Amino acid sequence: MTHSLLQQVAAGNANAVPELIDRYGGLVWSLARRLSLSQADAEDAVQEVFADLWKSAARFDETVASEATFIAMIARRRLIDRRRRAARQPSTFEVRDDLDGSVERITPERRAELTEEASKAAKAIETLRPEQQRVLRLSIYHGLSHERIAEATGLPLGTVKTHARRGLMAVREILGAQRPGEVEAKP
Amino acid sequence: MTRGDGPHIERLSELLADRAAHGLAPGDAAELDRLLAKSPEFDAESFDLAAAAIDQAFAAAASGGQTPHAMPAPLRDRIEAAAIETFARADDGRERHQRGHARSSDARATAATPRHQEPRDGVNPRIAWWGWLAAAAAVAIATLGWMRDTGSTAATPTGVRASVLAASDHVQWSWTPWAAKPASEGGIEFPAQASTGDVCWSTTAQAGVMRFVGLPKNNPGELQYQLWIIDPAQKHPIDGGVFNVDSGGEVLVTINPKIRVSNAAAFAITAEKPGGVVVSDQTKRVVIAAPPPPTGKG
Repeated sequence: MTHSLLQQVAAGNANAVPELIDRYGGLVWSLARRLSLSQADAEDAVQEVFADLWKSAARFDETVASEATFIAMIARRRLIDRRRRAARQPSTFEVRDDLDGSVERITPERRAELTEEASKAAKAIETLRPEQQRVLRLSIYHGLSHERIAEATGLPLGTVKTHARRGLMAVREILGAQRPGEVEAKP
Repeated sequence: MTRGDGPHIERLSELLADRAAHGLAPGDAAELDRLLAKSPEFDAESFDLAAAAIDQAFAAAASGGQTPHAMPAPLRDRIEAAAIETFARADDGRERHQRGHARSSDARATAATPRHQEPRDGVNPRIAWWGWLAAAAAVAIATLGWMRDTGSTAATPTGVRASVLAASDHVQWSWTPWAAKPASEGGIEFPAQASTGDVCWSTTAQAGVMRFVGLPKNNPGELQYQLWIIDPAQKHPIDGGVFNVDSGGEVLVTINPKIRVSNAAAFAITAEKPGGVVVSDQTKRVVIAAPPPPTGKG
């Protein structure tokens, strides 16, 4: 039976560590560069992300998410926490957001490389109106607060909150999570 | 499936969505904790996974078909070294637990002897952490034993220096001022021209000591000195750690490389921000020590 790299790390297999860093280092580094305030901050953040990853490896469940999505989740949590602690968001000027960020622009080659979850997310996002897509992109991809998105887009704050939350919840449901209020029935 | 009817579920979902997207203010985080306490079965992590999936989709769109950039090699090496350290501590902790927290008087023999470990979770690793660490521990123990053999048991810089200088493979090179990078490249002249001293290093022992005389005192809150070991076996200089100088006289600093040094070709000091950096831009070059140029036979 083949075990995932995270499962191997959790089981104490030294060989899996460099392979895991090589395979997902680019993913974590890209996230850190985007969501950090400087190159030095990104370098510090990446080290913290991998420290978190070693501790969290045993929680990985391949029936719930792919390794890439799980690792991206761990990385985002750390990066968002660091940005919060630094009490600073990127200014609107620092966020270069344009139509190139539309999911319709994903090349066929890149689409084929996407994880199953990201592929489903892309399809879900494609069903949203451009305005909704942009709010979701500014919220999730750029990590802007609702207030900052309202400033940047000119949309009412309530509309921004609705677009951001509903977009995320829609993808969550497509990925198979229980709907709010639902719990597994106990036998 | 049954549908819960708690009135807080909608608010709980909102807070989880906001947290997954950009984090929560302390007040909202406290509210989320209270709501989650009421619904411990709620699948909170699914919001973060959804955000990660959306992030990947947008990242693929923004990449223009390019694959993600690899992280800098020195950063990668540092992460791998930190992982070894993390797992070493965990491994040591497990071993202490298995021994009932007993302190062993024959730690040397124990650490140098490979330990048996049952495969965990059905995994039969080719090389498990303990094997890797046992090898590292064997080197460390051998070094300590070698230090005892040479008459120095104290791990003080003075003791280590004496031991290193007694090693047959040791090198000892003098510090010389390191010419600053051109100002056009951001270089700043560092006032270390009057600094003297030397560095001694033994590859077998993986130990060394730097001796400085006249190196300017530093304010650790503003900058720290950082050692770089140039090893042709590595693509990038090895991070030797940061240190401070709080005395105008002679200062001894033990060397603590983050990874094994195979063949030290030179030692270089830069001044960096507190805590050091992964990759130095060499804006503030301080001193460097390298083998003296060969004296040719005519």
